[in-house]
Amino acid sequence: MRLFLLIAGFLLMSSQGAAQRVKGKVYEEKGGFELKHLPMPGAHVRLLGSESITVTDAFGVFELDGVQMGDTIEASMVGYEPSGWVWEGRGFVELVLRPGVALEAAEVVAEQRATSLSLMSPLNVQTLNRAELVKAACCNLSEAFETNASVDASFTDAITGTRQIKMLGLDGKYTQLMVDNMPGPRGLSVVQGLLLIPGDWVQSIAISKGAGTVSSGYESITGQINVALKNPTNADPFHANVYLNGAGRWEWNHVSTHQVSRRWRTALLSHALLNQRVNDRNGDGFLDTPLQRHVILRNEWKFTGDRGIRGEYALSGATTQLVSGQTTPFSEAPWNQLPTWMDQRTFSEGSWVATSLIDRLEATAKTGFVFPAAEWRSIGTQLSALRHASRHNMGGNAYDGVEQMFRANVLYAGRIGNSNHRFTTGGSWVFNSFDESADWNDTTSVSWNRVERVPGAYFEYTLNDEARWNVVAGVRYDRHNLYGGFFSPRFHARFSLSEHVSLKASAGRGMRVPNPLMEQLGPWASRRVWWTWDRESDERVPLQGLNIRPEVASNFGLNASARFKLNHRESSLSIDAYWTEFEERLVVDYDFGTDAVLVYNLVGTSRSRTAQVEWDWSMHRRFDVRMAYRYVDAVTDRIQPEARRDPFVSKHRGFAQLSYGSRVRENGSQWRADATVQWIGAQRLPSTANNPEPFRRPDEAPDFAQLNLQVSRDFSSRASWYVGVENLTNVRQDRPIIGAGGVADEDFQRYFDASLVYGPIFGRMVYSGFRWKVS
Amino acid sequence: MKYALVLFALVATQWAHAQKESVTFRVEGICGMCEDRIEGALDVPGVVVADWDRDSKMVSVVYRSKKITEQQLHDLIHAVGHDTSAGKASDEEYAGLHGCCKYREGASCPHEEKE
Repeated sequence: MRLFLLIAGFLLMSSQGAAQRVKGKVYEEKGGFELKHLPMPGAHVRLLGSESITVTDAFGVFELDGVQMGDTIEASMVGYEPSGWVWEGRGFVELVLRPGVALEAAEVVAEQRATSLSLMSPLNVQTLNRAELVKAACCNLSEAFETNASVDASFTDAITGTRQIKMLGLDGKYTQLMVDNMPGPRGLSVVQGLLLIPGDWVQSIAISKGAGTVSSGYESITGQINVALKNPTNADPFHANVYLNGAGRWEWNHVSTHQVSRRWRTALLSHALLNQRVNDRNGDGFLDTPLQRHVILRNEWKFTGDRGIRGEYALSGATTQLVSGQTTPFSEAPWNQLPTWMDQRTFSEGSWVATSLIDRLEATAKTGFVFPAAEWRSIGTQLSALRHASRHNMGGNAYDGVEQMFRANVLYAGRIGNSNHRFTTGGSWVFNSFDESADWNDTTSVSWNRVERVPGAYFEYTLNDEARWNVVAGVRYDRHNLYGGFFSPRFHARFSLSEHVSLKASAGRGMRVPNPLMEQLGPWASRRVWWTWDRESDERVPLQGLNIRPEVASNFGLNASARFKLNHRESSLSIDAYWTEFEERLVVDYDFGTDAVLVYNLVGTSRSRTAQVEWDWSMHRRFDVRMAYRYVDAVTDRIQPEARRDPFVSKHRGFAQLSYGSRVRENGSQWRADATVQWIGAQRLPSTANNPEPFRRPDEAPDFAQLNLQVSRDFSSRASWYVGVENLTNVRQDRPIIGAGGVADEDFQRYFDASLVYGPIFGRMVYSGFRWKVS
Repeated sequence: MKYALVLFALVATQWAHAQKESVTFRVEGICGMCEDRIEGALDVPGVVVADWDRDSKMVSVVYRSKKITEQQLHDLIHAVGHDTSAGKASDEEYAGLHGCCKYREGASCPHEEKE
């Protein structure tokens, strides 16, 4: 075809005439055996090599000016293969677009690496696609980073099994999480929100270290993680997954897409989780894994309109129930007793129970318009609204919180002169209300209400000097109704030393308003009472006296990436250094005493410095290797000057992964295997020195290594089965819960603490699952 | 950890110094399916890397000359129906190709992305 076009082009070149106006029509090819051609509205039609571009109307018709003999007219559309036509003088041209994924027999899939880093983007972005995400088949977003060296997932406490992520040595709350470029887990859901994004719904994850762009808000400090969910256009017509693990957890996931009309496509996503098995492997009388029930649903609609209008509208809802704690109360199905436990304000040895309920409803709407005569110019609006309600009661420590948010964001993208100079500008308005109350065994209580209204505006300039230089520079100003104006400048640059080596630099400032009660789940599962520190009297005072101030930090980073051939095969090396310096921070201090957790505004310095080396090599036709090492130095000034090093952060961390993929047979069948080792260096633990001996723990956690294995069998391109082992060597934290395991009730009441968790609790876990799809 | 890395690098360099030859020759073909077929045919022990370029129609192969010869590379490609600069595929093999890969008739793959 291409050859033919070229020849035709040559022949016609000689008889070149004057520029003309050409009309035409773009069709969409549909169907398997019986092909149908339907008019395609909203497709881009351009003249290759010129700026001239247009969009087809409702009947797929377009008009293009300035066409000369021999010019190539190209039609394109997201999700379709572009189609070209060399114009030979006729007045009406017909172009056919074929779906990019429909022709299975002749389908061509470019070999794509499971994790890719971009040498061209000025942002330090690492993209994990499906091939990477299926390497760790479990279960939700907090567990999706198991095979990634940049993001860690650690447990928050020994009771709920909740995992939180960490990036650049700082908690996940300093990383801006986005779902389809809209606000993701934040506010009250900053930790637990990750549990509400099922792993099987995720299409890809982009991890951007460093400041990030300004268009999505002021909250990013250590970086941005954007999760792209499967949507009506990129997902298969039907996909289902069943998962079961050795802890008794069942999961169901499903994604299906439907063409509703010519312009509307929809996707339905569902997730269910059930775990009713009582596990206590370490025999401490506490459940190792919580009992839980989740139901999460999402429905997304995609509109592809005429004349450049696009829309994505989604509604999602989640409801979860969790029960955990001491094993004795769970003789029968726990769900009926949930309301009783929820209201309990006392506990004693043998009846300590934790309950947690989350209900979340979220609606998002994105509408975009691309100007027909100028594809570089576009306007977009993003609206999102959510209600997140969470209630929990952990042994009488009760919490009730409701967050409501509405955000409107308008973006306008254009260019200055030519397409080397582009800009994005716009404004946003955020309404965010928080209504929190907490009660600790009827002894102390706190109640906080906050309503935020934040208008903001931003401008971002992108310089694109083809091969060598890229610069993204943005400024943003937000006016917070409670905390005043905030200015966040951000800057990213890329310079390519050669085609294979690029250097990147970034700097930026970010702010976030903390919600301490929901950002630290650990202290809830303990006898620790929350206090704040009064600088004037130099003593601890009840938490209600805390004056919450926004956290402000600046982040600077350097990155060098290189691609090269090692033993004639592709390899890449990436070296990073990042430095985060806090101006203001809400310090959470476990070191004051074993009976308290102190929350106060920073006086002094707090910073995190990290360096990371990551090396990838496609070692053999069948094997890929990845190795990484990271150094973290995170320190914060606390009340006790000796407790400067941040707890639960390991200074050294290593990562190695070996992946195997057998030859893909004609029917798509393949064997795959992955082995991942993570080595986590020593971490400082909060001091337990003022406890008596059986209730003391070392001040430093030992280093440990965790090995995960997974084998997958693709029976065809449609069905696959996987089986894996997490933590094969059965590494477990020694006595994770202080005060557990047959102690006097009085001691239990006094010393109980499940918040000092640094490693795995459950030990070796086998899991298996099945995926099936229709394409 | 550190030692593991050093050890690994040592093994890797040793390996990289084994007897290897690289060769580039023309293979007739059209599309990405052809590319998969040609590169798939060369997915045998002894071949370190094989890459066929759709535009130039040239395949570049790095192979261990102790395990495989250049003639064997050509034979492997002929056996899946593609002509090379050193010979032709049998007509039977050629007949088995997908319609859009019939390079002798100048077929084209309509679904392929235009560059």
